[in-house]
Amino acid sequence: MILRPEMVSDNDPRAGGSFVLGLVNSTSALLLLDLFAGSNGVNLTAHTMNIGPGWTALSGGFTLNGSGQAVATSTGICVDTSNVGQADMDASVTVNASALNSYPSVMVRVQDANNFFHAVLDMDNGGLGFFLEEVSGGTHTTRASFAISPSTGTNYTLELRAKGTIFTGFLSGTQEWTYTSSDFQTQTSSGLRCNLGTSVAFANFQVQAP
Amino acid sequence: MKRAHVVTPWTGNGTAAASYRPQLAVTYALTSWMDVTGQAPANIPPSPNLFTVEIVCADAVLTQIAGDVNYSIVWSEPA
Repeated sequence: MILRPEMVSDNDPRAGGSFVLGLVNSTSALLLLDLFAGSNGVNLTAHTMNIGPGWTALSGGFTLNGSGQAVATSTGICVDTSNVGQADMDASVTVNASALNSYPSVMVRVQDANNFFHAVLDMDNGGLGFFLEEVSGGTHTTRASFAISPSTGTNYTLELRAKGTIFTGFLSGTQEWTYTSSDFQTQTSSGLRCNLGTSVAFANFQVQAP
Repeated sequence: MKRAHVVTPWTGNGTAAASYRPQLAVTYALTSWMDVTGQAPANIPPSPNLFTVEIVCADAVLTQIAGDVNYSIVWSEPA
């Protein structure tokens, strides 16, 4: 579950006459969940998700590392997807890099390996920041970006919400950009993608109904 | 920080290594930007090669952009 802070005013009966900082679950149904539990080296396609129909490797693939994380199997493009069952989805994953040499992302509205949207964190040279990329027919178009230079050993939660025609990106819980598009409107898969490096660990993948 | 809408050309060639992206974001240090035109991927780059982005940047950067003949500011937050 993605928990978001909520301010409760002193006029709210929940506050008991004082300001409190609470946590609420702002979204509803959990459609996919994978905590990546399992033995080191097990391919995601041979692993059972906590919630969901399982993984399909579209390119390269990911394996478990035995520490509740998944890692790309090669320095090429690695893509694993799973069917959410609906096109509106709020997908997130936490990434942590031991070296800055790759581009991890969380994908939504995936048609195939050449047609999808994904929220990417530049964990290579940092110059591209946290950005939304549309890949259509294999052509890459960056649609939005937020400047950040990531560090090694730090958790970053990449979240991409696709609701109707609105795509919204959150980095570690903070909304950074939106984009409007009707492309891939009927696609119902989400997934993980990594390019160039194997030093990023993915944890706590989840998809909720937005 | 200032928010503005700016008309910019696309740059890049659409490959994974050189995604289409606004020339403005390559030239200037922006805090964030968003494509607010939404041209279809098949039409990028369009003719003329222009589209509009919403940006957030430092005041000094916006002043530089205002003085750059390669870009047109549609509107910006007042000083």
